[in-house]
Amino acid sequence: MDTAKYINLFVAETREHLVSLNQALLALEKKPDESSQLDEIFRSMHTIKGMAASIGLDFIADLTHKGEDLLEKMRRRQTAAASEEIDLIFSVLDFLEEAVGLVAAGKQPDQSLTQRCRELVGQIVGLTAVAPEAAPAKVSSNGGSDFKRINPLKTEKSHVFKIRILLEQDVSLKSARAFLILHTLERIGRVAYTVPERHDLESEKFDRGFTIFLVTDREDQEELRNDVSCADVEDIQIEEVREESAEEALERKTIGAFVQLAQEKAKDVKVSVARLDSLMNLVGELVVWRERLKQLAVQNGDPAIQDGVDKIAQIASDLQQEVLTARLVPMSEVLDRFPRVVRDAAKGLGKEIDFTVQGRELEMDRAILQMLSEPVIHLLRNAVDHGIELPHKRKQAGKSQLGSIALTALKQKDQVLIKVVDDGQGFDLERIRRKVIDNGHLTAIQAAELADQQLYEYLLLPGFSTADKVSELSGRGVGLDVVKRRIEEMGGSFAMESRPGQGSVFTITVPLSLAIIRTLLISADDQTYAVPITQVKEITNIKLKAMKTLHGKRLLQFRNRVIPVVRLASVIGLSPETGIGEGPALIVERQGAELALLFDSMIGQQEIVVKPLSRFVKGIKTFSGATIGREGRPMLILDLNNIAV
Amino acid sequence: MTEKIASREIVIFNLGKEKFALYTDQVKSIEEMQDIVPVPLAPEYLAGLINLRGEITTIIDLRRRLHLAENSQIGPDVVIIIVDYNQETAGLIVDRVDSVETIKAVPKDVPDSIKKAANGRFYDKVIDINREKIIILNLDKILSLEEVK
Repeated sequence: MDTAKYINLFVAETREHLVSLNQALLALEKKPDESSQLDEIFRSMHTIKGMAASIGLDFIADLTHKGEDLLEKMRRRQTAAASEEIDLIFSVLDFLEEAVGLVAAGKQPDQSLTQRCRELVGQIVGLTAVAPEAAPAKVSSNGGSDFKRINPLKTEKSHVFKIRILLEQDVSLKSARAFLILHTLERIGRVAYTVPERHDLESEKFDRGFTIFLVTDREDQEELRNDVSCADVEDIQIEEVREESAEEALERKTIGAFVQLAQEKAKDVKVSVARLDSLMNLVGELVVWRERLKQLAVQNGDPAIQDGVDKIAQIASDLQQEVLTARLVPMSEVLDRFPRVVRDAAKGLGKEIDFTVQGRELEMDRAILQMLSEPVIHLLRNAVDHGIELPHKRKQAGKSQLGSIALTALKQKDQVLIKVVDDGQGFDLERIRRKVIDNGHLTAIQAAELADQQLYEYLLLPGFSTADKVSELSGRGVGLDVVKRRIEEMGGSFAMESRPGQGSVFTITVPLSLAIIRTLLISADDQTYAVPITQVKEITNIKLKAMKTLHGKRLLQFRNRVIPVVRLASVIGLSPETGIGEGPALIVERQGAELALLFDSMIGQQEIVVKPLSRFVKGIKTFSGATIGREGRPMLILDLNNIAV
Repeated sequence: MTEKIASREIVIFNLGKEKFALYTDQVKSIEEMQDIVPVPLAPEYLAGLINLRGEITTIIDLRRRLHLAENSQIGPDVVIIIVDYNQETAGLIVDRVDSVETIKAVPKDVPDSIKKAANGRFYDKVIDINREKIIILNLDKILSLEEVK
């Protein structure tokens, strides 16, 4: 059986849990005596443990098991969580994140990883052992302890079902199968308990059958059966359990309560990003051909054909819109990682910061969101590092010791505005001025005449940094210039404002969605062009001896075929056709015939954001659009289907 | 109506020895000369593209567009005037920005002799500023595409 499926599931689910774990832990750190967060953390930790055990990742199962011990101890004690405990759990989360990354990449855990895992386990044991009231060495992992703590919360709509599952004979990885079924059911309702116990299911201590008691506000048994049934399941029996007896049964099991219900998640399907991307690419090509077809239809002049093409064009537009919408994800996917980033940065520098996030629910294109992550993290670190002052300095300046950083995302038409606002010290204008002079950009007189806003522009020059030494956090040679460039590459813009002593505002504006294509970057006569990869059949290196001239036309002997050769530079009118013709070439097919296009050099591959050409250059069919290239310069996108030879 | 037009502001700039103007409300900003990426196969007056704060902006060599001097050399004061037109942004290369003036008189029509010249359609009105004749350009015509093929 295909275990990759379970590994993918493990990776995806664990990553989700790690995000919520980090959030809950941050909340706990803010209010250490709120035990509800502990329950949440415990539940997530427990799920990760179960998943890890079912696919044989023993070291992760072990570590999370010990993590449960620590959490259990914290819950029993009913006093505020100690910061050393929280720090340790943060370390565990970091470790898990790394381990999951390794698993996702299909790698085996190496020595240093398992060593660090042992160290973490050791640290947890150290903390749990010194407990004044001897904590139980082993925490029951049958899930019962989960429910003990949840207040009975039963709605009138709840139904209790007894679901008996019989797996097919000779199913491999029975535990994973059981886990998957339990997992599915947990999306529908709450699994009250199982026979045999969940722990035994997870460690494969059962034969073929097991029973699950599910509390849900679903009524339809058939629907339930459909959700549970999957490959490798031979039989499913479902019966509704009357309320009293359900309660009796649960009582017997000393599971005090359960319930809490049914997110209607069962209607959603998870689609991999890779599949969405390929869908997007196909739609992208469809749109290109739609345009071509439209032109042809107009030339053809037959109204019936035009009508059909119009309809297809409309459907293609709708399809494109649907796919774009399907790619939208809530910003929380990225924003929720930031509190942790700010917390760690602040802690490392001894700063006290209140960090707020707004606009989590806003939806935007997955690709943009991913690209946004890095620049925003940089701005946040910058704000912690250079913006917010140390507590005593803030006090001296008459400000609250607690600095504030606010991250807000809001939608404006088809753009997203992201602001990072801090109430720190603002830019040190004198220092920037001095640096501008020292670096030889301006004379002292010119610098003195410069308005503040103009002065900021210098912060965006590559390598311009006012920090005297490279700081651990935001330094590493990455400056605001890189942030600006990244944003511009995405088709967005970047602005900043600052008031000395009062703080700074950084504003990023990016489009909600993108048209992205994969391209080859090539150069011809000192200019760089992007060529959509889909338009290139092959890349080859042409040698003079492989060419011959016939009637003044140069031809290339290529894999039993004879292909005309032209220089790209002369095709696009950069320079006249010359006699020489060795070097790299693109083999393209246009109008049913192959053609070899010689160019100067290959620069690389890149995913680029396509921006339409302005009206003024649209008439030139050789180019299908433009983009912002690597050095922040515009770069034209060649349309090889439309070059005139 | 004419009253209102008469009190508009204009940006006066040089192209060679001659002075031209655009209304300030047509001008978005004035930018320093920068690296322009040429667009092959484009008309001669189309200087190329620049990255203006993330927007790919088309730049027009105004001298060539107005069929003025052949050699549009780039001098030390050369700037790009960014104009907004039909919600699209474009840049015009000029030799130097001279001044911004409030026009008090009503601009006059361009004399027929000039209007009939090859570049006459780009000229909108004429106005006297400090005893100099300044031609107010017709942005609509300058940015029109009839020639771009």
